[in-house]
Amino acid sequence: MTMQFIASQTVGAGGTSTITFSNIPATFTHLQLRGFVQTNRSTYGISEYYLQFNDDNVNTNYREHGLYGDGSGVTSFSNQSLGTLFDFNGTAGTSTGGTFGNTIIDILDYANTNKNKVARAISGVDINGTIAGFGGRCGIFSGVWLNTAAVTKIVLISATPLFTQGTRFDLYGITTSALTGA
Amino acid sequence: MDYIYRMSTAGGMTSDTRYPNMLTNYGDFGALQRIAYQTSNGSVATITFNNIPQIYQDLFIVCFSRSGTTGNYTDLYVRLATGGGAVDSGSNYSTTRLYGDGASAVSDRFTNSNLIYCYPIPATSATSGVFASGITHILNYANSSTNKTVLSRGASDVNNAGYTAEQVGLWRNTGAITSVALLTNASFTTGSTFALYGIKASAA
Repeated sequence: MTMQFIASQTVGAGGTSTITFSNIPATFTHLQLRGFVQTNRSTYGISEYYLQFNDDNVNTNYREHGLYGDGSGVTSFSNQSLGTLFDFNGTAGTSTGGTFGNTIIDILDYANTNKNKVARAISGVDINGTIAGFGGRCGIFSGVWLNTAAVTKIVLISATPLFTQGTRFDLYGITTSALTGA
Repeated sequence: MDYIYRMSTAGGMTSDTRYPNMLTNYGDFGALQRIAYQTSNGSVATITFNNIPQIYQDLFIVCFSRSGTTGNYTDLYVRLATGGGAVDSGSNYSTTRLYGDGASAVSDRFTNSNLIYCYPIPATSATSGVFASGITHILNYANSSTNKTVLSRGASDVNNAGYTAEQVGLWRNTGAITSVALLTNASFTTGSTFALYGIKASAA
């Protein structure tokens, strides 16, 4: 197994509502997206963001499942109403200053044109307590994109107006051994 | 050297020291690069990686661990340091956890604590020879303007108990991380292994 850097996106001053990786090469076996995330959501200490493939915003083409803990309870959920894939955890502007959430997203066999695409992630943020009744959150998330096209474009969308300055995503390609497949 | 194959047991390849040392020396998998590797001799409760180079985007830690403390299970913890100083043992950490033990799913939180909780690892009363397998991500560890978030997944099963867990921890310090300490109660059992990787965010 070898991990190769593909591209990086860092949010500058003023923020942005979407982060895009285009023209993703089909030369790898899997993709990994590593996110360091904060949004400007008000009131609460945590926020969410979503993922979309190849500019497809048709609700029925996506389905997500998640399991997360918020420090007091555990929640399992499923959604098909967002036109996007995944709820991930980022921190909000009201959280402890300079705190960002972490997310690791794996998109396996992303270039295969015979399979619907499944992705999974671990994601979490801690804010040393609660803000407006909500504290940190960590969980595992997965989703299917009901489309067999190769993934060539990934758009990350903030559920609240903007990703804030310093938010960063790094995209990697994972190759496997030609000899062992490992 | 891209790949390492264990061809036979000849030449000391089964040694507890020589085989991991080979992995250490050749642990370069593109953007994922081995920084350091340590094993426990059974008498240490803390494994520390010092002088972490500041040339990577993220840190990635792989632990195969078991504790010499009493009971079925205890925890693996993390402490961090900046500026080349000692690891911070002040009340500057917090943790949110999610875990299942085969009977129920639980989430809990620790605030203003003096370490980050990662995941449960087997202890002396657990089935012998079973270790927890865990990974830890520390993204953007070298930046000096944000607090540091630590994201872990760990699991083990001892055939009559077990845990699968995820954890997110916060260190309220904006300094670049120069040391990572992995801790448990009593000591890490002989055979526990700890590998620190850096993940580069450049094509070079």
